[in-house]
Amino acid sequence: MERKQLLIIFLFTLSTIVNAQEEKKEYLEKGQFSLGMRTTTSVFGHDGVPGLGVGGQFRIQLLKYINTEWFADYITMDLKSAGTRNNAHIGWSVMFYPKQFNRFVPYLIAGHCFDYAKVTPLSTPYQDRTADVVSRWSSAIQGGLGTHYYLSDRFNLTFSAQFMMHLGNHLEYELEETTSGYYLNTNPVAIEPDPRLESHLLLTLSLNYRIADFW
Amino acid sequence: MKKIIILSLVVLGGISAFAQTDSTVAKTKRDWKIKTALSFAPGLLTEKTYSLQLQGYLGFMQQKIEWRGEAFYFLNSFGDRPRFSMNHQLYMGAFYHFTETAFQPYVGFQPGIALSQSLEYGSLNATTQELEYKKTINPVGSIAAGFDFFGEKFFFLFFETRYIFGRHKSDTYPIYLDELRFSFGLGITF
Repeated sequence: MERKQLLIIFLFTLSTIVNAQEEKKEYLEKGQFSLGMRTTTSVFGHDGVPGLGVGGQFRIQLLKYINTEWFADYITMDLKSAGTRNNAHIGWSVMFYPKQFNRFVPYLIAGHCFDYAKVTPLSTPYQDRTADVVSRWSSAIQGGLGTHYYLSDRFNLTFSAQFMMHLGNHLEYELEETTSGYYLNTNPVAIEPDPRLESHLLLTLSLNYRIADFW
Repeated sequence: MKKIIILSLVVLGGISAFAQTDSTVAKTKRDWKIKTALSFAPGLLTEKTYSLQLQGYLGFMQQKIEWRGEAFYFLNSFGDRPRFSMNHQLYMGAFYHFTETAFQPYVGFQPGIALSQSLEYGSLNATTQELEYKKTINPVGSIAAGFDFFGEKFFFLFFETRYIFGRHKSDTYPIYLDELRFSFGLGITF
């Protein structure tokens, strides 16, 4: 008789656990692979003008608390109507999740990227400044904070703020204020080299969709 | 009596647990759909200027989330300042549908790129001594809102409006790509 009652209690408890497991969701698990699109704003950079960028990324989650992000960005900036700066980043970051708050998952992020920058001074119908275009490849490190917000178990919105520091050569140019607006000087002889590391803040909003669970 | 109640609870509990698993399985069998549509999309720019684009998209929808890739082919622009001779755009982003009924209002955000060419500002090519109007690729973003109305099978009707922001930058003066664009049409879903 007691055995029967115990069995009944065990079965009831089991069915409750099964139900509870159905309701509780784990949004992030190791082995997940997701694809995403991103838009990036670059602020507090060399020129004091914001840039708008577009890009994409994929993420492979290695462990429960560690994710990796592999990204590419293309950012353009209007240099006060005196020229254009184009930046391309391709790199990777490691994300660390200290704690998950159901749909909100904040994280710390740090990584490395390769960077291509090109500055094109303004040409007019009377002046061709193609010869003044300057460009360079460099390497950079970035780090910051971010958070995912899960709208469904597969889809998340992610916002991150990262400080990027360029380790390679500077792209030497100056925006000079004149009586008729700004002039973009890319002549290296006339520019005093800046000894500081080039850096800027990247604010990124991305949309991500989990497409596979690898392990 | 006590035993019967306990037994009933266990059975009900078990049934509900399995019923949820079954419904999840049934849902995963067909809880997504593909949407595709083609439409004309008129747009409003500043300075009493209008544009006309051909729009096509392909969307993947699961639960209330739609993941959509979209293309706009620039046809022409009219008005006081038709500033572009080319302004094709590609977008990829996501939309959130507020309901799962036949009538589905939604909002979304899509980052993208624009392949654009100025009609106004050219730059001198010193070698050929001619004016050049360079085509460049620039990032754009788009915030959209609209609704879908699904028929019983295959077809749906949609109306959408979006605000596009970005700037055409080349080797000469920058031009805003900002535009308020509308689209209305019939799409296919399966």
